[in-house]
Amino acid sequence: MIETRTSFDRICMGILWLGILFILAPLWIALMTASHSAVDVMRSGLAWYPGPHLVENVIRVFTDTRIPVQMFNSLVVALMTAVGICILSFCTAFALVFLNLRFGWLVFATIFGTILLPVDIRVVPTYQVMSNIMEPFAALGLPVSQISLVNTHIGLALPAIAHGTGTFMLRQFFRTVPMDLARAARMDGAGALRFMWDVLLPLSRPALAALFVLMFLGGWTNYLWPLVASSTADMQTAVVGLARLATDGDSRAPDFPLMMAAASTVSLIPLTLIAVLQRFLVRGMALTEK
Amino acid sequence: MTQSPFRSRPMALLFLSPLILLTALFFYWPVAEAIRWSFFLEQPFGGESTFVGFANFRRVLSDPEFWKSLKLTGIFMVTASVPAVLVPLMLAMAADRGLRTSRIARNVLVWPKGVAGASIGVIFGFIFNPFVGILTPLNQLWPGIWSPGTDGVDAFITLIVANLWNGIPFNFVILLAGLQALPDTYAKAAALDGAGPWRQALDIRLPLLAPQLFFVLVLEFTESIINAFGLIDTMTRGGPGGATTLLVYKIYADGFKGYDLSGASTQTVLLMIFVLLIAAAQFLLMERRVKYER
Amino acid sequence: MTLTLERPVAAAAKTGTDIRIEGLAKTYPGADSPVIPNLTAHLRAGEFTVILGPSGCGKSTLLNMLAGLEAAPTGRIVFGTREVQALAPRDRGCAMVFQNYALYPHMTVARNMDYSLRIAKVPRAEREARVAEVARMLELSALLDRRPSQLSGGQRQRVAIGRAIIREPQVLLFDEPLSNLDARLRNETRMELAQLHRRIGATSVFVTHDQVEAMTLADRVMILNKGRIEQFAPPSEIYAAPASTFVAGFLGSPPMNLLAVESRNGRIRLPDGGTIGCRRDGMFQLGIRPEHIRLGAGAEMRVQFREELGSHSVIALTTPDGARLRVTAPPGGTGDALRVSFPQDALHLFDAETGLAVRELLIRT
Repeated sequence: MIETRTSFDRICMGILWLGILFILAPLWIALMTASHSAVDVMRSGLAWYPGPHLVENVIRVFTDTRIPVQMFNSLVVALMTAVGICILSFCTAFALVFLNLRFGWLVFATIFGTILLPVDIRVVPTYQVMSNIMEPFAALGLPVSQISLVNTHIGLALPAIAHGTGTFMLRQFFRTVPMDLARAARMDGAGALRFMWDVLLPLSRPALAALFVLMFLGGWTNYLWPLVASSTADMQTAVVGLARLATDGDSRAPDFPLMMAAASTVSLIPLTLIAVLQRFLVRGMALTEK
Repeated sequence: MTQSPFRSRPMALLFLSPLILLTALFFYWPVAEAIRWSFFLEQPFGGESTFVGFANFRRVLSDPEFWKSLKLTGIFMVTASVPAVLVPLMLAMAADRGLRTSRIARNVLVWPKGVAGASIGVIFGFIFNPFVGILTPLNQLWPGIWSPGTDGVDAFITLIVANLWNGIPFNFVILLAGLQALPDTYAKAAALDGAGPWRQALDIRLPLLAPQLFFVLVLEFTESIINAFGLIDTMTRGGPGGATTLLVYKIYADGFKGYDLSGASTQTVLLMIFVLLIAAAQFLLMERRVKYER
Repeated sequence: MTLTLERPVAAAAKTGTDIRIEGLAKTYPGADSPVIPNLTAHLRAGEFTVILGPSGCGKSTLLNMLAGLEAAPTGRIVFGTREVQALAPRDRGCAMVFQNYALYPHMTVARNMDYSLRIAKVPRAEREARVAEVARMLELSALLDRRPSQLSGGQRQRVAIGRAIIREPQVLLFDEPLSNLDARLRNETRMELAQLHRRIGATSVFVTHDQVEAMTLADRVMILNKGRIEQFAPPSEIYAAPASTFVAGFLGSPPMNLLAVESRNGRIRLPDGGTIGCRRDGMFQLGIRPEHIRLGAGAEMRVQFREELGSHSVIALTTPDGARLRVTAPPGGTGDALRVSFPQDALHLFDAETGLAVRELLIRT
């Protein structure tokens, strides 16, 4: 730092603390409310202090709701999304950067186009396609039967996998890898595959980890697509289940502690991931912007 | 850039085809289908669809509900994006000072990345509940002053706050990375020129951050209207009285609750055009103003 | 570092092959003109050739085509008796030392060096023996388990060389390996490379844009300009008899003075007041190196500025015609004007149109 401590620094510190407070307060209130009984909350409003009912409310989440199986769904979908994106975008970005394609830019533009219009914007037609993925082949006149991927794990993950962000990020990363490494590998007698496996993959480990974390979180927190693409409660993801829990009980008085306990439970896995893999996540986000 | 020494068309084809196939099937095909359906009238419960030309567009474009929801989408884009960029900007500039607090802040401020919009919607829905929430004391002093259930403006505010909460991590990380990438020679030069920390922040760091700010703003415009769905569906359900029925929510409701496939497809096409136009306009307006040679 | 060699390395026992380049041409897709229009050259076995030229002259393209990293669509490249232009790099028996080392950052020094042997499926025992041998030769034995990031710049450079020579290449290629080193390390490494070459005996091709590297390392220097060979000769000859104005202006520090002159009635008037005979009338470029200009006699010229370099000074003068003339002089001189004269045997003559040397037209008396 160039000058000494000033009032400017004190203001900066104040801003940071306000930001931290703004982020933590809702999570804190959710957790604290989850530790009170429904009656208490209806009588005295949201809670700032811990109460005695946290364990009881969490147990209710596990016994009275579908959240446990839905969390399993979220885990499967998030893993599928993250693994699928990592593998596919690694291969795609590798071909784009290292295989000297004459029409590489066209392929890149094709894939990059998907970034402009996320699935949430085109959810209606995507749903129609997912309910019969053989439609385009049938349109070509091929004799294929109808296959619906609605209400399957793979169907929940696919639109997120068919997306260009991962390819874009890894392409940016590959372009920072010195091309002389590829030339050196070629001189050492390595072919493209060998270079990819022996040199590029080990070098990409941090970038892939970052991409994985980012896409796992994305897969876990997606809402609109899993909402429409799952028709039974047992196929819904945890976030959808939580939202249904909060909005479907219109007739009864809302059970806020149960909702808050569920919200805390659902967010536990991704938040733990963030706490542990913090630096990968930050690097991943920074990679989005070249 | 040096050319790669590898060249293998079969391998390229093998590596590229899976993702190309997937994007074709789950991106380009749906986009094409949306456009096709917008020219057909689809029967809600199956049966033949009939070509109707621009009838769907005439119907949608003459529907005041559509225009209202498009206007709300535009309003939300601006009113939600501006704080969702400005607040992270302030935080990033504060965190860039290398204070002890910034270590904690850099950790905590990315946490919302792990909390779905719908999840935080549930939580904020409770926090802003007029009867048991954080603003209840206000209602006891002035009854009815805070009522997101009946007041459209209040409902809009809850969405903006929740959207800000969700948008902090990404924008903060990008802006902070941008600030940290600035060579500190600029700060040294500015200090020698006699600029204090305030002037440095406003005259040096802010202008040099323009590329990142631009990038973040472009993404936030689209991101806000997408993220809004999870918030709307859990906090306001489009209400009160349609005051928070943004186009994403209206399309969902029309398509999946009203079974109006043609109407939903037509609106999808219009929303896609809207989003692309916004992106194009931003690029045209701002692109040439934010590039610096280093 | 000195290279100590207890017994000849296997690589040193071999000598390189000669390289014949015949009618080589290359045009990049989308480019209007070829990088290399038509190049023919013969590099002798065991010779150290430096390819020198400004950026964009085609020297890297030429090196890549020798290595097999870029396709050579037209012409032939022959290593010894083998035609190699269609072969993959690994089948050509050549190795390369890269700019910025290009070491694999995730592999140890040993792994970096024996990676090519692994790919070639050389048995483990032989691999280890060769790594040990090369490491001893390059004084890397203690560093074999380190990663590149744990090495100094000079050590990395040696690993890069070790990786290249471990395969006992007949042809060793260098792609500006010194250009990103700091000045001191560059000097050291340059001398090491010269010694190394003498020991290994591989035919070496070294690409650079640095004339000092070219003059000190090369047996012969190939000067490229727009993909054409301007001159291919030993450094002394390139200095003494540059084949064109391009070569004359490219080499030497400061470079040769080039002055526009006209030959009338078989005589050229020199700026120092004298004349020299010429066998043809017309426009020429007269060349003279700053260090060959004699001071103290002849025409008086105004001093524009002086640069003191300690060992000597470089003085810029204005000729009576208004052209600039650089001379080197003993350090510490003063004064607004200098008398200079041009010794006849130091004069070069170039055709004004083609730029080619036409030294034989001068009639020295």
